[in-house]
Amino acid sequence: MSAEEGTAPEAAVEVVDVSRWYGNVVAVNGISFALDPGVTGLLGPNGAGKTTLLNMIAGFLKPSVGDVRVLGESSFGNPDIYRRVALVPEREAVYDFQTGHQFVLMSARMHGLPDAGDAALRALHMVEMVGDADRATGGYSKGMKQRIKIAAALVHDPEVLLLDEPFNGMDPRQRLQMMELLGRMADQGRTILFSSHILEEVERLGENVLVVVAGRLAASGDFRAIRKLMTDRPHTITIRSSNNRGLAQTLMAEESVFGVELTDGKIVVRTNELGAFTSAAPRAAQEVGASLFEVRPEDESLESVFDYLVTR
Amino acid sequence: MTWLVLTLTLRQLLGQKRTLFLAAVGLLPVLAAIIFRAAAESDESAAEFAAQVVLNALVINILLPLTALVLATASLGSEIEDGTIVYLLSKPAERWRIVAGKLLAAWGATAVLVLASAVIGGLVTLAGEGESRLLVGFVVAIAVGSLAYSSVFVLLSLVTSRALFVGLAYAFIWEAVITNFAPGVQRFSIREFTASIAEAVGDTTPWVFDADLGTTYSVILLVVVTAVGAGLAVRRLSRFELSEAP
Repeated sequence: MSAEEGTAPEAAVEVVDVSRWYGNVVAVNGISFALDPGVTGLLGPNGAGKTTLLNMIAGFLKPSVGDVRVLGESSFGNPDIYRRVALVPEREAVYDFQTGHQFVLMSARMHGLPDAGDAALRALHMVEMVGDADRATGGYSKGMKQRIKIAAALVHDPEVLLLDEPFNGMDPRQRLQMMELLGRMADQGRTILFSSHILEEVERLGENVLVVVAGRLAASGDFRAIRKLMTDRPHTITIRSSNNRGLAQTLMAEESVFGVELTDGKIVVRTNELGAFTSAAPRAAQEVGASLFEVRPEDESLESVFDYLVTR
Repeated sequence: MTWLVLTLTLRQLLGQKRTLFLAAVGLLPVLAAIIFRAAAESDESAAEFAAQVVLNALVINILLPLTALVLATASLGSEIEDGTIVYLLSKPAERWRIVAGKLLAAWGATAVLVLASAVIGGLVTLAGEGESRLLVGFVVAIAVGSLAYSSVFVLLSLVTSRALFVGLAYAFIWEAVITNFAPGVQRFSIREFTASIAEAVGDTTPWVFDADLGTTYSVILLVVVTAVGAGLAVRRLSRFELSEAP
């Protein structure tokens, strides 16, 4: 994956300076990247513009400005692209009156596959839904609906697979099985882009990551580098102890600490090396003979992590 | 693809409560016919009652537009509403095939429901009075009129999320009220086109049933309305945006 300079002609997905707005609301703002075969995680908080971006790549939304190309072709208004591309939408709805098998088989037939029955069965096997395939989808759990939607999307063996929050509603075992499946598909040379607002999902599956916040590309590249950025960002920690003044003095000498404030019966510590600080704090308390009553990180929400990535 | 969309849509329509409601409304012309037979002292006015009350006032004026509106907007509009439309649009098929499947399903379901009501209501009213030509005229008119209505209402469901409301306004304010006060606008009413086909095919005498528009004009307009409605629906679906709530 290459970001910003994403104009390599061989890229499976190219997004070039794309924006999309609805009236006065900007959903996606000047995003560029290119994807090669492999798994890429599209990470961002709810409302960041992930679904809008996926829909533009899938050809279901026209960019207000910019260009989206999938496998070298413009995707909007180009139904032929769906011979090689598939989208698993976030919305749960399927045709409740159909069985899982009927739903996947219909997808295979609509693709005009010569061996639709075999293709449907193969896709059901891939998502481990053969056992429940003859039940009406109306009675499926959320996780089962996700898997049957994925089976319907895989039925024609797409080169590019786009998944919008695919792990919603899946239990941990199903999640792991799905991650393994997507990993195998990527190893076979497919390009897979999945969105998530959960850091751990992206961490386990996506070697590459695109972080989208408020419609902008906040970070992109190797997940480990971005994870380090997230971990090493400034953290604020509140401490209550039996000896606040003594502990504050000792912490001030720690290299991992760049700010200490003694206020209102508590110590507010600022650090940009969380790992080092978590080892230093108990040691410092021991040195000054202070009992720790409370050690509480402030502002640890995912949104604040994303905000940091945007403003850094 | 068209056949798959057609069968899928018919299953969708048959499983909905609104179809049961329409079937119940379809009993009204039959009920009117039964009451007429029970109250009629002679059969002299049977043809007039069948044409003017049962088949025109109840079936063509009320049941036909209502059924076509509800089924045509449900056939595509409900898929847009719940997001399942993505499973049709994400296939490598020309968009006209999707519109054709949806339109044929809406037309077929509308025609079956309305024709069943019209034929039973007509037969009960006429009770073997030998006015079968009159009934054939209305059967043909309803079959053609339901296609034109379905085409317009399928398009409407792609243009606005308030298709049901706009369609009701068209059928029961424009066609039912405004055309009565401003006869010139009858020229823009599917209901009037349908009635004139019934008159022409049924070969009815003016005191039994008399439509206001010429047959040729009505046939041409029905073809134009159906073709333009379907054509615009294909065009609209080809540029359809998923999160664009119409």
